Amino acid sequence: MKTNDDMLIQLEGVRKIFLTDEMETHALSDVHLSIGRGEYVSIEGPSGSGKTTLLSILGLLDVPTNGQYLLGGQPAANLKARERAELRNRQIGFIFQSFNLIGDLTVFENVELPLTYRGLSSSERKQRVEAALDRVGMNPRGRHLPAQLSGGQQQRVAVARAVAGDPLVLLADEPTGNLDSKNGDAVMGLLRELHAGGATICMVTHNPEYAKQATRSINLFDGRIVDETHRVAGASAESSSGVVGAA
Amino acid sequence: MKTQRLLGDLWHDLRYAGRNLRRKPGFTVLVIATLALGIAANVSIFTLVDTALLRSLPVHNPAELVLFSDGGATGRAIGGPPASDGKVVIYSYPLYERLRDGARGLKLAAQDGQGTTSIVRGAAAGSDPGEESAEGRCVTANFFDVLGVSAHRGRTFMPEEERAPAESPSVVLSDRYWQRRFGGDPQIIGAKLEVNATWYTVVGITPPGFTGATVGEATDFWVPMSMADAFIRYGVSISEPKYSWLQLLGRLEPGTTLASAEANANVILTSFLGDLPALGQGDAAEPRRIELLPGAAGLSKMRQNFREPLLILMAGVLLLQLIVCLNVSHLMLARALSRQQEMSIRAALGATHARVVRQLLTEGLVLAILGAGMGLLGARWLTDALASFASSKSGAMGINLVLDTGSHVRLFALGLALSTALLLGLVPALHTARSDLQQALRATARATTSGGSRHKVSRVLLVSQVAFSLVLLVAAGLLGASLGKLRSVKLGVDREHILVAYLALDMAGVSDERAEQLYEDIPRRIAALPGVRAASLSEPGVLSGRGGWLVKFPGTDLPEKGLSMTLVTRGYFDALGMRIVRGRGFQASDSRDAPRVAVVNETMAANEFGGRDALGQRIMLEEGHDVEIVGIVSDARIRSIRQSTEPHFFLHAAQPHGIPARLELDNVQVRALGDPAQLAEQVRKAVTEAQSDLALLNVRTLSEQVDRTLVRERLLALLASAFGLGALFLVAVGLYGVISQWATQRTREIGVRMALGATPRGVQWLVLRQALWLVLIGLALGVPAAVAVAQLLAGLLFEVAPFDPRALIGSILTLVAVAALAALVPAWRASRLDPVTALRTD
Repeated sequence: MKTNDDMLIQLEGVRKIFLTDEMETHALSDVHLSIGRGEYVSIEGPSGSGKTTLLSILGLLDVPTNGQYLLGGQPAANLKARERAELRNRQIGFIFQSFNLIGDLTVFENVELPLTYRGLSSSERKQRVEAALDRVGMNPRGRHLPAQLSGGQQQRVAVARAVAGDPLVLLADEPTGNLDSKNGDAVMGLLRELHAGGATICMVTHNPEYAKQATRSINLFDGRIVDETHRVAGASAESSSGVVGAA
Repeated sequence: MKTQRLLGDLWHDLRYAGRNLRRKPGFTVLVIATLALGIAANVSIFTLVDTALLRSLPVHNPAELVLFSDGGATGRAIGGPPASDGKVVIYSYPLYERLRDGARGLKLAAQDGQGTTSIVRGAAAGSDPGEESAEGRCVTANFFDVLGVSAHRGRTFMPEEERAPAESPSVVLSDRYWQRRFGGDPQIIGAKLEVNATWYTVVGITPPGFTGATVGEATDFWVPMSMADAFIRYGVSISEPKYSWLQLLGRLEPGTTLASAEANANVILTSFLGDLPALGQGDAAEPRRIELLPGAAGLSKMRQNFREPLLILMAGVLLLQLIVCLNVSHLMLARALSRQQEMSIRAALGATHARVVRQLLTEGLVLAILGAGMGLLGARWLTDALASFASSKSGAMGINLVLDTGSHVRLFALGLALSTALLLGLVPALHTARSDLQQALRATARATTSGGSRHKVSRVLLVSQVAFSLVLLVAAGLLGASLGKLRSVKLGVDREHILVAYLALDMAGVSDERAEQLYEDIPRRIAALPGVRAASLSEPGVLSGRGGWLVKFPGTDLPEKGLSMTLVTRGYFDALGMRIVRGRGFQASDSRDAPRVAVVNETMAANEFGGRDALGQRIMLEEGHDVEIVGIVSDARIRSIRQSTEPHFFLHAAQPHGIPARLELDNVQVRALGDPAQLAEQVRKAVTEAQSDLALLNVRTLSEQVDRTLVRERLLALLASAFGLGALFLVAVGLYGVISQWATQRTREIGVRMALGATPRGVQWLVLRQALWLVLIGLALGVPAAVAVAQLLAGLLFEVAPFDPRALIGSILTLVAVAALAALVPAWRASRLDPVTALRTD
């Protein structure tokens, strides 16, 4: 049983409402969610269910309309843009579906980018970048430009970029969405390794097989968490709890 | 059928272009305004260049006209005091007669070398428009015949009007003056006009557009040579072979070459000089030669003074047009990029490449036509402003230029508009030609953000813009600094408190005896006014650029020398605030019968007497008229602001000075205790009280007079600054466009960076850095070009080195500051991006 102190992420009654042309769209409605350190959580749900919005709020790219968000025990819902940027840089690592490497920068420079924003020294950056690239097996390609890599390789670089700064949590938005099954499997293997090493991961995916690799799966529907499944790592046992209509 | 289809396509393209441009009003207005700015500036400056340098006189067959110049000693008249009029040297009337009578295959005419500002009063016909000053010229009776100008109304002069003054002598008016002064009243022919106290009969009007043979000195009316003595300000003796005052021009008859006419003229000149032993000595001993020059463009002192500045301005304005084209090309390119998918769809639907290119060219043409139209409207206003800035009715340094947008200008404007249109359409058309049209149709998720190579052309255009702008800014900085130096140069007089004016003695027909009384009376009356410290009269006036005479040093072996001289009344030094360093100034006791005295300035005292003390030395302008130097006065730049202190001597008007010409002291100097401008009306009144029909013209402060003498520098500095500002504006617009485009294109990258922890300030710096890099590259390229151009300006600079670090650094800092400002908005916008939205951007 995890206590509140073990919780890395806590969402309390989070709502997200988008206003478009005088019409309200409730992207998230009264979401309560806690993610403990070292958890591997997958978020599933149909298109428009609020997965990406939830991930954006978790990643401090967006702010909730209502509700409380604690990251590492600290309130993170109403921070200034600069404070959110700093938190993102230090505590969150992003892995995008479309990799989002910067075309003008080499592989090394792409991985180095968040460390540059953090203001680390050149030698420390080099050390961390090399370590991160080693972890994903991309060190020999450090001087390549992203366009010279395959999709799978690009995503491995994106993973290296996400982990280079030792974030508290890795947020992955459909990390295999743009990859074939072989490369997808490889990236998922990488995430598994990271989790095994102690990383906290929160991943949006459409793929049920990949979702099963997480220790917990959350199902979203119409902006609400409708189901949660807990798995024991390395075992096939599952426990599920329906939370439809949870207030 | 084919033509019909082509016209149909063209109509379709035009309609589509119009609709497209209406849909993007911001883009359309920006492009049209930018083009209008460039075209207006170019057409205006070209009008000035065309009028001053290129255009032929509006006369019959101007190619047959020739000008007489002296190839021997530029600036020295034959048989007279030094005179400077570029290559065209002035001649005496007897020499003109000899040349005219002896010429073979060449018809000769003459006009007085300087126009005469005149008071014109009354008109018997029509309404009396009152009194006004106008520019008149004394010409030979055959002047209009030789020029090939027939009277538009009435007649020109008859041969018999050449020598014998008629009871009511004739005057011919220019069409411009007739329209301006008399509203084009046809009854003016036969009417009487009083010009400088003499009544004339108007006999004719010249054709529209004709303002005389001298470009830059538009003439309002002409009087015949027989009236020279009464009309010309300095008084001339028409039969005196030593007194040179005429400019000659001729018309070659068919079959006569310039060389043969020149050889014949030189034979006549040699014969003339040989027949005049009295000339001997200095003048005759020097080699003399008449040089004939093509005269289609007429005479022009202004052309000599303004040729270099005008060519520099033309180069500057063409550079501005280049910047305009670069700027608009860049805007067009950005638009083409945003329409890549549209062009791909057109291609997919079967449009040929040529068809797509034609569509783009049509849009360029529509924009260029609209821009040219607005530009031409702006050019009319700008040309008028330039003409009024550059022109003045009188004043030795002023010019009176009638700017006319003739066929040259229209052709230039058309060429400019067409070439611009081609360029506008061509850049996006070339881009479209090089791009893979199919690629744009493929909607693919991008795994990486764009590398930005698509916008290399934009960046190259912008970098070029920055480089060219730096050149213009440095030029403007140097010319502005030079003008500032000239304006602040120490004149050695009490600049802030002096009022100057022109006393129209000749126009009032004042006799010599009466003039001598007025020389005493007028300064005394003015000096007695409250707020006046001192007053004087002189010839020439302050900063007139005139007043050189040949001086002998009797009793010494020093050679004769041309030195500056001013004839003054007693209070002159006090009226200008000049200090007597040694000896004394002029006193009441220096009367007509007292020993003749002179005062010299410090430079003359130190340099012109072979090391002897100047006080007590004697100088002489004419045999038997030597004067003793009794005082040394502080140095002052009273002849020209540009020349550093030069030897100068002063003679007292009350004493016979032996100057071989009648000089009228018609320049007034008043030194005020306070603001001199406040005294203008009182001084006018004092003059009228001295003699009721005496007019005081051109009343202005010395500071204003300084500005008038700096018309060339002001014109250059003003226009160069305007070009520089225009270039800066265009750089700002271009940079804003490029950086906005860059930021838009990089939206997703910015989103990624934000997701990775980039702060808003970090994003702003990322965008600003792009702008500053482009500017720095532009500056690196522009600095050598600016330094090279600065060398070309060296001749026009006053006490400013061509490589003036302040001008260069100032221009660089200005460009960097403007660039930063221009990039600030896109930078701020980028930092406010919603990262979620940015990450979704394709």
